This record gives sequence, C-alpha cells and structure tokens, in this order.
Amino acid sequence: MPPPTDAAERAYIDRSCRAPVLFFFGSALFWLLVGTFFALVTSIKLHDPEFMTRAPLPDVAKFQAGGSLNANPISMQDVGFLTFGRFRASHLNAVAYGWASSAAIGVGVWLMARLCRVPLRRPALVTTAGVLWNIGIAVGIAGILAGQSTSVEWLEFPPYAALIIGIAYAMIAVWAVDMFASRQCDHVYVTLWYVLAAFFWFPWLYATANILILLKPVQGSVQAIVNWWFGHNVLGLWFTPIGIGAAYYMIPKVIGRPIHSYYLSAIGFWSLALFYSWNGGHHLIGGPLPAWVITASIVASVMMVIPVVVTAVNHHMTMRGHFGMLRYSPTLRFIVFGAMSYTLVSLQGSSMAIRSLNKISHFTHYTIGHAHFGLYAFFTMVMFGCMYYIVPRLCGCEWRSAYLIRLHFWAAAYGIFFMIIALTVGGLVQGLMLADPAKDFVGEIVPMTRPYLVGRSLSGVLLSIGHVVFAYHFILMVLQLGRREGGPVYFNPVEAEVRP
Amino acid sequence: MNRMRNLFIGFFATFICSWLGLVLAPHIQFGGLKEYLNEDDNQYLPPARTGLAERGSQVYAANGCIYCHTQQVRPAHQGYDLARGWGARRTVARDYIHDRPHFLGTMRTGPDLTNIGHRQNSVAWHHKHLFAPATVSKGSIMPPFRYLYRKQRIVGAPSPDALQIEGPDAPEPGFEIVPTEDAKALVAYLVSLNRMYPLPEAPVDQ
Amino acid sequence: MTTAYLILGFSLVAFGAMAVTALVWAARAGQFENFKAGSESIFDSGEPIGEPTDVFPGMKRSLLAGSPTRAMKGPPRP
Ligand code: HEC
Repeated sequence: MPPPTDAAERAYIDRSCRAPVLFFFGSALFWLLVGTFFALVTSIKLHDPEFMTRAPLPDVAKFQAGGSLNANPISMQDVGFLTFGRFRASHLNAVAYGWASSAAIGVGVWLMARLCRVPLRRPALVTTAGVLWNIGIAVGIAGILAGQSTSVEWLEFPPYAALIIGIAYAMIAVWAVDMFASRQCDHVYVTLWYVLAAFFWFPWLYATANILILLKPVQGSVQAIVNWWFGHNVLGLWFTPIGIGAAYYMIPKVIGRPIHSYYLSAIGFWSLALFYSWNGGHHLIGGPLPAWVITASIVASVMMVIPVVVTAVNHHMTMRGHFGMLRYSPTLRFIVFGAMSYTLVSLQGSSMAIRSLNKISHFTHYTIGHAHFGLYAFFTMVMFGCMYYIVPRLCGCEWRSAYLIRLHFWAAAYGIFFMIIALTVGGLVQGLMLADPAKDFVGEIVPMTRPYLVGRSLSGVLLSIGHVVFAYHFILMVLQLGRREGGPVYFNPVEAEVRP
Repeated sequence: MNRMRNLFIGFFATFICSWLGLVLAPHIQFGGLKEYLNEDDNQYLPPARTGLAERGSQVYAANGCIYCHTQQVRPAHQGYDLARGWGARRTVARDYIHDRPHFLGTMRTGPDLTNIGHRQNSVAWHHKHLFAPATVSKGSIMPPFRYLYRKQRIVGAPSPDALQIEGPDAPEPGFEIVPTEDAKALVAYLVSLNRMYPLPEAPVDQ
Repeated sequence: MTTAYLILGFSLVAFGAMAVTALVWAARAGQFENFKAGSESIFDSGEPIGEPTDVFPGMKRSLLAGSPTRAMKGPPRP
C-alpha cells in the first residue's frame, strides 16, 4: 500500500535507511576519533620526536641475562608500533577509509534512497558490507602498526586487508546499481549522478590500483604513476562527487529553493569526471616519467577550473539572498563552509600544478595543508552538515543541544583554518629555504619549520574537541535522548501517520 | 532503462579514458625497461641489489621512511635538487626498475636519499644516526629507531658491531647495543643507494 | 613508444566520439529542455519550494519568518 502523502512517503523512506546508515555513521565517527588520536600523536612526534616512543614492557635483556621478572620489573621500552611512520600511515587510512569513506557511504546510501524514491532495498546487504568494511579497516590498521604497511601512499593497507575492503565495496556498488534500477523517480536528479558515479568508480579504482601495485606489481616508476592516478582519484572520483552531490541536494533542500542553474550542474558533473581523472600526474612533476604524462596531468589540473567555477557560481547563486539562513541552520553552515572551501582548495590545487609554484611547494608542508583543506575543510565539513540533517530523520528526534552544534562548528572551523594557515605558510617558508642551496638543511630549515608544526598540533587540539563533542552528541541521538518536546518534530510532521 | 545505460556509458568512458592514458600507456611505454649494459666496464645499470639490501628496502617500507624522505632528483629546471648536491643528474624511470614498491616519496621533512650511499657510506654512522638521530645531527627531528636495536649483556669481549654511544642513550655498564637483522638490512640498503652513474638517457650534467 | 601514442590517440578519438554521441543523445532525449522540472524534482507538497527544512534544535520556527525565503514566498504554511 503506498504511503498516503509525500511527507509520509519521505519519512517512510528515511526510516528504511535507519539501521544501515546509522551503522555507517557510527563507525565513521569511531574511526574519526581513532584517526584523530593518531593524527595528534603523529603531529606532536614531528616536532618532538621523543614523544611516545616507548611502552611499558619487561626488560628482555636483563631477563635473558639471568634476572627474574620480579627483580626486573616492567620498564619503558622502545617499540616499533609507536613510530612516526606507522602512526602517520594509520592516521591517513583511519580518516580516509574509516571516517571519510564510511561517512560518504552512509550519506550516499541515504541520498540514493531519497532520490530514487524507494525504501532502502536489501538493507542486510548494506549492513553486511558495513561490517566487512570495518573489519577490513581494523585489520589493515593493525597490519600497518605491526610493520606490514605497503608504504604506497593511500594504499598502505596490506593486501589481505585491501581484499576485505574491496569485497565490502563491491557489495555496495552492486547494491547501488540494484537500487538505481528499481527507482521510482521520474527524473534522475543531478545528485544521483554524482553518487552513483562515485559508487561505480571507486571499487574499480581501488581494485586496479591494488592489483597493479601490490598483487602483480608493475615496474618502479609506473607504480608511481598508478599510485598517484589512484591517490588523486580517491579525492576526485570518490570524495568530491559525494561531497558535491550532497551539496547539490542539501543546499536547495535546506533553504527551500531550487538550484540556480540545473544546466550548469550537469556541465559541472561531466567536466569534473573528464578532467579530475587525469590529475594524478601532477604529484610527480619533475619526477622520473615521460614529459607527456606530466604535461597531460598539468593541463587537466588547470582545466579543473571549469567544473570548480561552474559549481561555485551555481552554489553561490542558489544561496544568494539566503545567507541569513546560515544563522539558523546547522546543516547549511557546515555545507556552505564546505562548498566554499571546495572552490578555494580546487583553485589552489590547479595553481599547485603549475610548474613554477610546484617547484617550491612540492615536497613541503604546503601540500599537506592542501590535503587537509580538501579532505577536511571541504569534504569533512560537508559530511558533518549532512549528518546533522540526516540523523534526526533516522532517529526521529531532534539534536539535543544547539550549543554543542555551535561548539562543534566553531572548533572545526577555527581548527582547520589555523591548520591550513600554519601548514601553508610553513610550507612556503620551507620551500623557499630549500630552494636556496646556501641554507643548511638541519641547521636552518628544520628549526625554521618547527614552530609551524607546533601550531599545527595546537590546531589539531581544536579539531579534536569538535570531534569529541560531535561523537557525544551523536551517541545521545542513537540512544534516543534527543529532543522530543512539542509533539512530532517539525521536520517530520507526519511521524504519527507512519507509525502503525 | 535507457537513461541508466547512457549514464553508465558516460561513467565508464570518462574513467577508462584516464586509465588508458595514465596507467596503460605509461606501462606500455616504459613498463618493460631493462638494465643498461655499460660497454666500458661491462656493468649493468642500475646494479642488482643484494639480498640483504632488498630486505632492507622492506624495513624502509615498514617504518614509513617515505613520509619524510624522497628518492627522486628533479632536473635543474624543475627544482633545487641538483643545487643541493642530492645527485649528479636527474633520476629517470630506469633508476627504479628494481624498486618494489617505489619510494619516490612526496615529502622532504628530511633530505632526499636517492644517493645517500654516495654521500654517507659509513655503516657505523648510519647505525648511530638511526639509533639516535639528534646525536649525530644536532637539532634533527627524525624519529629515533632504537627499536631496531637490541640491548644485550656483554659476554666476554664486546661484539664488533656494538654501537659506540655515550650520554643518556648509553646502556648500563655490562650491556651493549647491537643492531638487529632489520637494522643491518636497512643500513645495507641505505649504503646501496647510489645513482651517481650516468645513463644514456640521463647524462650527469643535466 | 609508438604503441603508447597509438593508444593515446585511439583513446582520444574514441573518447571524443563518445562525448559527441552523449551530447547528441542528451539533446535528442530532451535532457536540455526540462531543467526547471529537474531542479524542482526534489521538492513536493510535503516540503515545497520556499520551505526551509533545517533549523537549530529548539529554535522557534517563527524566527525563520523573517528570512528572505519567507519574505519571497509569502506567509508560512499553517
Ligand atoms: C619525521 C620525519 C622522518 C622520518 C620518518 C625519517 N627521517 Fe630520516 N631524516 C629526517 C630529518 C629531519 C633528517 C635531517 C636531520 C638528520 O640528519 O637527522 C633526516 C636524515 C636522514 C638521513 C641522513 C641524510 C643526510 O643527507 O645526511 C638518513 C640516512 C635518514 N634520515 C634515513 C632515514 C630512514 C632509513 C628512515 C626510516 C627508517 C627515516 N630516515 C625516517 C626526518 C625523518
């Protein structure tokens, strides 16, 4: 029996996503906290290398030399799993796959159900994929800490973990195609293109890269280009489409106004798909590769200006006259912050592909700043915004506290702002000093960058506060401790109709 | 279904295009590079790696050295690498045919290591540096890799490869610090890193 | 080497052809005509155009009455 009204239908569809999407969000937040921990420690280690290098263990040498354990109690011993290199890899993978990808899947699943206008099909498949996904990440991080990292950036997970993740992802892709095939909508809204494309591209990308680098490795510098073809496409063909797609849905929906130019959004999509996928080579400018590969990537990186400007104009024109809403809507705040960052970070990215800037910025903290600009200021903020919108609709209650939301927002916004400033300025200083061969590496350059690294750690503390606050708030929601006063929450006026 | 088919053709086409261009074409072009035989001294370049050095490269991978060190020298017009004395020429694809995985790296918190075996070929220096970087390189922020070393009681004469260290890192009297197999392999790998020789596609003056 | 260029050239031609086909198809199928309906497809009677759908918890909806959305689209729905 079809539900009686549009609103009831929507509430019904939202509720059908409840278990799988909350599962993905919950695990995303778990990995966010884990990843934040790795990040903070890694960051501190970079300016203070003796930080957390030892763990309490029995003193084996004395023990072997004939002492008894009692006589030689536990003392602090150096251990490998605490080393910078392993923590840094764990951080990247925990946030990229654990946090960002889980959040992306959760948001993508919900958007698909809404936009296809069908209740979630095969929820068990989605949840099973989620469980596998989490196992894969846990196994992978344990592997990295144990010293089995592949040392290929963005693909550090040892092959056995990558396999589990690949299977989980393939399940999601199959689900997405099935879901799309059974859609009830008359029109395929542009967000659906983005989400579907991302669900389709990523497993393929992941499988290809793992096979060519780990299972049947190609030769040295071909690996490098495969590595960066993959590394950049994780951003370009996975996170970006989900983030932009979500913004194309959320902004109009929250302010109650259709997207300014639907035509532009279609242009934006195809130019993104076309140009972004060729960007990878710009990580290897000056590297041991034929000039044409690099040049093609530089051209594509500069061409990225087209989809970016198109999207920026479109979002801006949609928002025009509605910026006042930023004061009232948590979702909008996070998403508009993210969408603006997307414009800035993408233009920055295009400029970094230009040889004269790349000469200086390559191999410095500038690049790290850029990466956080993209993955945090853009993507993570958009995901936060989506979660603020979606979670109440799944849980049937409102967020507990406006104060906590504000705290989260400002901690995140200031934190990432300071982090980007510290890394960008620090990176430029580092790059300019490196370019002057008279500057001594250890004597001058290392001490010069140190204060910026300390600054980055401090900004990380701000971000961590935001994460803890948000995770706590999320747990309250899942425990059904959200607000309920005043009858059915306003965004779900027909709750009563849905509940039998 | 018409629409779905067309959408998927679009997704597929954009993706396969970049795959052909950035993955397959480079692979076909130089994925099958071989060593170059230098006729003068009958040497293959780059030289094959010893078993120990090969194992060392795995230690290098496991401990995340790539997050702070690159192994690529850019040409003079694309950076300061040559000016800093990190090599005699730019590196080219052939330099990496033995690398699994590749260690090109993206970050220079520490110096480039393409030719570290040429700059610094003292095994003892490397052990000391890995054990406590700041003792040989004042102000270094490189992490100490003390866990690649082992403390043991001196039985009879001290071991020949025991580290000569003083100060707070020194072991208690009667004990000594020796490298583990991993540390030995890593240092063997580091001193093997030497790409100073010319290749036909990369003469040393570039 | 030659193979690489062949593949590159081939992929470019193939890709261009696909792009043109896609454009022709899109134009024929009326993808470029009904943009207004497309962009409005995410609204319906339950959440119509002009209706914001998100506020801070506990915030009175009447606050939104002063927002430009309201001003443009007339009085709040009951
Ligand atoms: C946190 C970043 C970091 C990591 C991780 C790191 N290093 Fe370093 N490394 C540095 C810095 C900074 C220097 C320069 C100061 C010095 O000589 O200690 C350096 C210097 C070196 C040097 C001397 C280079 C020269 O030109 O004199 C070698 C060799 C070296 N590192 C090897 C390694 C190896 C092997 C690993 C992995 C087991 C490693 N490093 C991991 C930061 C790092």
